[in-house]
Amino acid sequence: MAYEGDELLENVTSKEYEFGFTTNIESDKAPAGLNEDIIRLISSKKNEPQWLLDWRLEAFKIFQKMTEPEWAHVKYEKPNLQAISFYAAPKQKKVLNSLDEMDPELRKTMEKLGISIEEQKRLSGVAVDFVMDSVSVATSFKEKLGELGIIFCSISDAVQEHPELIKQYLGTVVPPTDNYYAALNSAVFTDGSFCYIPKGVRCPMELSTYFRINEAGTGQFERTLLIADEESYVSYLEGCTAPQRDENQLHAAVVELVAMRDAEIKYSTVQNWYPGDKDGKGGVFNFVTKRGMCEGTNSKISWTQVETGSAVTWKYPSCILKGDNSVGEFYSVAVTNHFQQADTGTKMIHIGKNTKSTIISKGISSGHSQNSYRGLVQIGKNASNARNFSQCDSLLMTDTSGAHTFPYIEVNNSTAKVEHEATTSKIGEDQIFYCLARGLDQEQAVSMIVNGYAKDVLNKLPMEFAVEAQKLLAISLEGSVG
Amino acid sequence: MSIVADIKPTNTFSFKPNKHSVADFPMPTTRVESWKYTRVGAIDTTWKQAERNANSTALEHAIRIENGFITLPSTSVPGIQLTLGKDLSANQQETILSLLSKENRTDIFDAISEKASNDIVLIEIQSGKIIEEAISIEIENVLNDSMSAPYVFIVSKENSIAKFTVDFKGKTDRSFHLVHLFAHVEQSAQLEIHQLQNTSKNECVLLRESISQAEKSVFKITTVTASGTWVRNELNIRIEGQHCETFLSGAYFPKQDQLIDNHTFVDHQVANCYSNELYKGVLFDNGKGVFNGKVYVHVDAQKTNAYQSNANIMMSDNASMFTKPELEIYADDVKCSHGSTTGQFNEEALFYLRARGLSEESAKKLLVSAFTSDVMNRISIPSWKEYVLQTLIQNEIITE
Repeated sequence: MAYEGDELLENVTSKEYEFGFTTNIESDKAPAGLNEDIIRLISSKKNEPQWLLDWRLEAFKIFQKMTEPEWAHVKYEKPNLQAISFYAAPKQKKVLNSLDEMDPELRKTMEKLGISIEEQKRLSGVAVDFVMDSVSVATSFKEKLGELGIIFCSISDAVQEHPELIKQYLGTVVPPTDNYYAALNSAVFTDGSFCYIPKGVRCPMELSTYFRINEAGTGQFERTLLIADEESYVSYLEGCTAPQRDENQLHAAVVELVAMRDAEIKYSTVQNWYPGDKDGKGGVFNFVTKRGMCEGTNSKISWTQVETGSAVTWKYPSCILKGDNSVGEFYSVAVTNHFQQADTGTKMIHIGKNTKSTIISKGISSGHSQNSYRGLVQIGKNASNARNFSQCDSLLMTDTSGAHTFPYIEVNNSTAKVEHEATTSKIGEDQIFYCLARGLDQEQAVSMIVNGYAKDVLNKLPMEFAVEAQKLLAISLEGSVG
Repeated sequence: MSIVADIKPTNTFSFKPNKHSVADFPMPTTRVESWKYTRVGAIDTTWKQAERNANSTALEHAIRIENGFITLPSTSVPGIQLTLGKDLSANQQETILSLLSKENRTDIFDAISEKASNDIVLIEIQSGKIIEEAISIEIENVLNDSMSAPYVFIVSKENSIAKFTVDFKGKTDRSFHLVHLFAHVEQSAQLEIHQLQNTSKNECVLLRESISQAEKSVFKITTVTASGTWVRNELNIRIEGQHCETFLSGAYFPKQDQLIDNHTFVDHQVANCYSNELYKGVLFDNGKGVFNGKVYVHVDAQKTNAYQSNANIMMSDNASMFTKPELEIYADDVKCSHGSTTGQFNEEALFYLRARGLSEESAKKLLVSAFTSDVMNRISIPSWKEYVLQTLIQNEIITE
């Protein structure tokens, strides 16, 4: 393959991870290894009630009976769980009254990431629950949300302050028995976010959490639980960057969403964890279980994700459409470069009547990467008039990368309408020629075509995220010509 | 497990070095990915070993496979050489072994089939010959509760053109066809195979086909499954030479408690080839349909153009359809796409026909025939197409 753009491609696709910096904050770290004592330690450090400890231990028992799944289209060296430290908390523990009291190192990190909290506090109206290594360090706008009855805090705080909600919902959407990593997460989760939107409340701002894996050798086991009560609305943003390091890091999060009658949840993710260097060394393992339950009638859950990071991704944000007339959506752009491997997609389980789902997945493969879409659309026997539309497109940038589609469609009701289409191709030479003829250079042409290709998904992102997403796409892709 | 109680090898052909032992393989369960939606329950019982029917007589023009035993036609056609397993020359044995070695799938059914195989026929189309008349193969079991395991090998030599019809007939109350068909299409040759499966309501079919194509060859296949209690067709096509064309199509109509499973695999190993796949299904009663179509494009298979389409209509609330169209692509300069739909008839079309005086039943049948007409139109032998349509009419699937 000898294209003129080869040099350019080399320049851009070999670009190293830009956000690779490490913040030196002392942290409180558990010894490596996984056993019941570690789980007891985590539970006691977090001052948890007995029922939660029992729940964790039960999950651990289930986990011990499971084996790591191998069906995904990815190859990696299985992480040695006994070498991982399952708990790390920044030592600085005192409660902050204002942002000025925060560790200056931490402030710098935030600024490098481009999320000055003050700026956000004053201008953008985004409440940021900044998670640094498993323990929430700063939460803003809590009071303002509190006036509306919205609970937005770390899951550890929620365990202390709202145990009844946690007890009622934890593990109802993703039970510990669900899969290997969900069981692991249930046993050892250290922190995460909790959000509850009361009846009839429309959350006035985009809720946002920045996750950041910071401590060398610690895996992150976040647990997010988001409940939208009847007739409420919330838009939740999750974004990640991680510092560069050599050893593989395991991230096995669980996200559970519950939407009651007439509620709507919009969950957006921009994921840019360290993907490993250009030789495929290092990088984050991202084995995440994300699932939303459309519990009530007319409820709606919408997943939007822009995936550019991680060495190995294994992630299927799903919707269980239980309530009648409920709606599930999945919009995804997944970019893989160098030796990244992504096996991502969604599941739409139609149970209620008149349920609708839409899947738009755009994969872009470059370098030596492998990018797979794996999805399930299941129409149950009683899901009359269910409707699904799926579109999975793949764009190949190099002849050394791969793009794969594994859709599963299971229809058990005659009134269902299910459509699936998938295409795989490279950027048309005619399209590039067209742009070049109009005075654009090669890089601009490719950037424009790729942005156009991903536009269906980028348009679904909230404004705050769209900018970041475009930046990430630019880092990962501009100039890639196949 | 024993599918065939005490298998006695009846065939003189030795499958060595390919030979597999039945004991080496477990019976596939739904935990095995390729059997996810298909339970082997119906065939996982003890079958009698089939025996040669002493009364069977040769047909004038067709190859008859009765209880798995092959009888060649009484008249010969210039350009076609037919050889039974016992008469194979050393060279022909080599040909067969090389065809067998191309298939890398090995499971319990291959092992059973190798051991229980009744008969083998090698059909060679001589190079440069154009065979005008379609060559017909009739497959029928006449012994109740038996299993038959014939092997058919076809070699279309360079620049030849030939068409086959394969007719699965049903006569027994209950029996199992485990049929292997291997074909190699040599350079610039054209081969077409048109199949109809209309076995009786309690007959099971596991049809395994392995096709390989050399440079500039054309291969077309149609498979219409009109009846059968448990039918699984596995069609693997390897494209080994450049500039090949491949057309694979099928239609299936599971009724009552029938299961019809079509697994196809198109393996694009080299560049500049075109494949086109079209499968359509109409599901009645408690019918269950499975379609798993895989297109694999190797790193070197640049400029591949692969198209796959699967459409299904559900006629009953108790029917179920499981579709898995897969693309696995390692080359970048390709055009690959697949589309799959599952739904029901357009109410307006039904209303239009009702308004013109058709009963609901005949209106639906008319729509079924319209829906599957593009598959039927790929049957290039008019008399065979007529025969297929008549069979569907008899089975009350479509209307005249």
